[in-house]
Amino acid sequence: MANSTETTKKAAERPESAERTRGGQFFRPNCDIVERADELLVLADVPGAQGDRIDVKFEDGTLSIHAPIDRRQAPETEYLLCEYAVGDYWRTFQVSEAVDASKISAEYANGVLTLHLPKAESLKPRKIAVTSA
Amino acid sequence: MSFLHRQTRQGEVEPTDPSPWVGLRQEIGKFLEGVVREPLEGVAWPFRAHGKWSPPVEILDSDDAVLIRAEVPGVDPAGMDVTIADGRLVIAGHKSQPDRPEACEVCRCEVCYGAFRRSIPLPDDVDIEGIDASCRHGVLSLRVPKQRPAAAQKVHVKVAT
Repeated sequence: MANSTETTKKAAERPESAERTRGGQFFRPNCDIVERADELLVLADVPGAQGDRIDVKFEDGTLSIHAPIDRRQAPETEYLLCEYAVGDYWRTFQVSEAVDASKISAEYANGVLTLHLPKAESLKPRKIAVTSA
Repeated sequence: MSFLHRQTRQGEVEPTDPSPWVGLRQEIGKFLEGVVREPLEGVAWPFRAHGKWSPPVEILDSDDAVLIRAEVPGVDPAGMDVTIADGRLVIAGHKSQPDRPEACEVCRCEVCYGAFRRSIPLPDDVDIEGIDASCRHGVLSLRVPKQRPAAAQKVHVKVAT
């Protein structure tokens, strides 16, 4: 019984694995993910982000995308129509260990972030030639 | 399909198959369309959207101009059309889907592709000739300057003698 209580307390005190260090409002960017034979392709819509400020991390099998967005409204203006809010983009994905982390590459153009996550060599499809005697 | 999992803020892991959620989102959209639009059938809808998807727009008013912004990630700025006719500003373009080889599996599909068209009514007191458009990092920005009111002129009243 004592063991059971201790275990529960420890579990309760354990911080969330993906807890954010920054406060404020975040938005989840829409993403397309395509699995190809040799890589995993992630396309994320992050309009308004500046390419050099986008932070992409891959750690312990977790891919995280953080794109800070500056406020665009000038102080002397007022909204007539507002269909979208402005704020930082943040999203994480749990990726299996099949990705070669050292070869991950990223491109950014026209508000779309493209991530190439190459599969580890051992998982790439391989054709085995059968030799007949 | 089990290759990827999305981590939620609570640290839970959700299955990856997006199709039920995409379907649910579309259903909610259709429901709202019916509830909001149908009772207002006879009323002119000021911001019309046509096409498969519709970029979100924000309009800001300042003393000297109206600022219109639209989020158009993935749209080639060179292929975007901005036209003004009959007091309406029309933004049209096409978001192309990246080439996908046949031997690939779509794990997650949340982004909309295809043609879009938005029509926004303009106020009367704007200078159509002076509209300035730019597209940066997937955000289209339009600055529509307001016409300066003509300076008040004083008319001298002659007094008949």
